[in-house]
Amino acid sequence: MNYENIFEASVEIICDLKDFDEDEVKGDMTFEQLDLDSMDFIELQVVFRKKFGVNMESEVFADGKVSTIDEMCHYVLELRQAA
Amino acid sequence: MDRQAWFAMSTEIKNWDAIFVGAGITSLACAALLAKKNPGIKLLLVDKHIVAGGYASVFSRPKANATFDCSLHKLSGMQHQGNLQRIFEYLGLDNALELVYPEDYFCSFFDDHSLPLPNDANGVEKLLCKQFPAESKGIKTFFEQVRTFGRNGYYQFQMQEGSFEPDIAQLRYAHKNLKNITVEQGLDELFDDQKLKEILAAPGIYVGGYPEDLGYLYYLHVVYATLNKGNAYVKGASQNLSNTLAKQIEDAGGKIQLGTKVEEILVDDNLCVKGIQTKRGNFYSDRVYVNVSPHYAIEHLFDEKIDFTDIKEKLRALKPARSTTTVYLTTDCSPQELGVIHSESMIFSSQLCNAAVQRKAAELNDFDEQLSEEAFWKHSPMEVTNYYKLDSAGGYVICLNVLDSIKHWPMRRTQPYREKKQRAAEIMTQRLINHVPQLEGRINYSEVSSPHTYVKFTNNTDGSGYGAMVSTDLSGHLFHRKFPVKGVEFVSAWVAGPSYEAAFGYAEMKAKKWRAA
Ligand SMILES: Cc1cc2nc3c(=O)[nH]c(=O)nc-3n(C[C@H](O)[C@H](O)[C@H](O)COP(=O)(O)OP(=O)(O)OC[C@H]3O[C@@H](n4cnc5c(N)ncnc54)[C@H](O)[C@@H]3O)c2cc1C
Repeated sequence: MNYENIFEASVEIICDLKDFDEDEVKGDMTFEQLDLDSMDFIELQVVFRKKFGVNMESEVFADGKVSTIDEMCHYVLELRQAA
Repeated sequence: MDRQAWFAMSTEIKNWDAIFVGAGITSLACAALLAKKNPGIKLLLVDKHIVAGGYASVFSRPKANATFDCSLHKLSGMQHQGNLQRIFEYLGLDNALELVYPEDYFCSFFDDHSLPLPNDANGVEKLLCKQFPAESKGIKTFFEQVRTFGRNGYYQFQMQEGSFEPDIAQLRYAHKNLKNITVEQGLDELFDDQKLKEILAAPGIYVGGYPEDLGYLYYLHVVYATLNKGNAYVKGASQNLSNTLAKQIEDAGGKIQLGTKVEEILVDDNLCVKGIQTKRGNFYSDRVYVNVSPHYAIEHLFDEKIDFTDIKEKLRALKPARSTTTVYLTTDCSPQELGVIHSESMIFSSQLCNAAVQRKAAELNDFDEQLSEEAFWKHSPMEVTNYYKLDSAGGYVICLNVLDSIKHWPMRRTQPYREKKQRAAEIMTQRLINHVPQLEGRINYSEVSSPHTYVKFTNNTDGSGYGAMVSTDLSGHLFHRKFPVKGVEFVSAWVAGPSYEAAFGYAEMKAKKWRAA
């Protein structure tokens, strides 16, 4: 499992959640730009747990440590490596 | 310890482990859970009111021999595997409090008949299929949606932490088909019969929204929580719950300082919170939980030099839920003897189809006074609670509630305001008397709370008693993301969602994060 796999999966989920086309979604896009709401975050957490076996903490989203798709992918990768 | 000695001590303790601005139910639940999980923790709750609980409190009128509850205090999630039931057990509240489980979910009153709904989901489904046979397919679909999608929403905190695994296909379906429609649209898709739609939408009053306001997916969870997961009331009313929590906090070494307004949340030069300022002195902590409305907090409690541009922008999208106009009544003998036989009733207007149209017309006309009174007071569903039936110790008390808007209410302490209160009392009381004629001449005390009353007592935006509206637009709900002041967290209906159960669920989630933070 590498960064690219996680990025691809993230783009797929986000396109599904928000009706973006795949080529519209870029790694440096912020969650605000993606218009993710509180229910979307929960779905992201659930899907990532099922797909990658990681538990993303809500706090990292809340305090802004994770604010873009890139940052989220790195965070997931870190969680995978720590597991 | 006397008051002065306590103040001397509290200013000496420079470091409270956490301070809560406001002692509403979310603060009380969070502090009680923190105290139970972390023995020795030093918690300070400060509230401007003279009793703890915010909306979860009562006020007395000794001359009328009555105690009135400020909110309905119908607790959802009070059956096996209910979230609130579980937290009650953890805190020992199930033993400390006496609970009343009502027979009915509520009784629906129409012009020509009444229909009591049993207090279990299968019973309601069966009864409605019998009453509305042409709609039975839609009724089955509705209750199936409640059981699947409503259930997923209900266990959202467990879903986040991984102890509840939803079916992804269900989540996706709900996201695409149910999340972006209102209750009005969701019910219109399933049903033609207006009476049935009104009955199914009535529990929206528990969360501060009419069918045109609330998101359908969210609403399925409200029905799941209040009906499928059981409901109960507390003997001694909501104040008993609040006081019991307050006692637990104080027994564990915490302090609840009432009658003390927080003037400012103090922040250091590095944008880290350091405490609060009150007329009775400053209290220090590097963690402050904000229980008050976020709009009020940003506007009034922080130094104006702090840049809240982003937060303010997000807060513009965080719309308050509807406020309430409440008529508190007492009768000269037991309300049951006079024909108010159910603990809770919903009274629907004869102009069923018109209620939503009239509300929208009122709004479009800048909440014109006459249109608004017609729409909100006369034609929207009115909720009636017979408190005497739930707890006779409070007196012969009946409360009437309609969801309302502050926008057509004049300022307090003016003649037009007093006259309007009088009109609200007359119109709403008459609606009840139309259905229960024996009440005529038997009401011996009446008092009205308006949306302004709610602002006065809680500082909640527009008098909302339910925090933010959970509509199809959730963009404002993450207003606290990347909050510029470190150590500030929000605990209230504005982040948890309306209801005691949501308050306890959110408080539990916050309390679990204590170490991690
Ligand atoms: C009419 C009505 C009926 C309801 N019925 C039900 C029901 O049946 N079941 C249910 O589950 N829920 C019900 N609700 C919803 C429920 O009551 C609320 O969701 C819940 O009580 C909100 O709690 P909270 O923690 O957000 O704080 P709030 O109750 O809003 O408390 C905020 C506290 O902050 C204090 N405060 C404000 N400013 C300051 C300041 N500057 N300094 C110090 N303190 C301050 C206030 O005094 C108040 O005590 C009802 C609400 C209403 C209005």
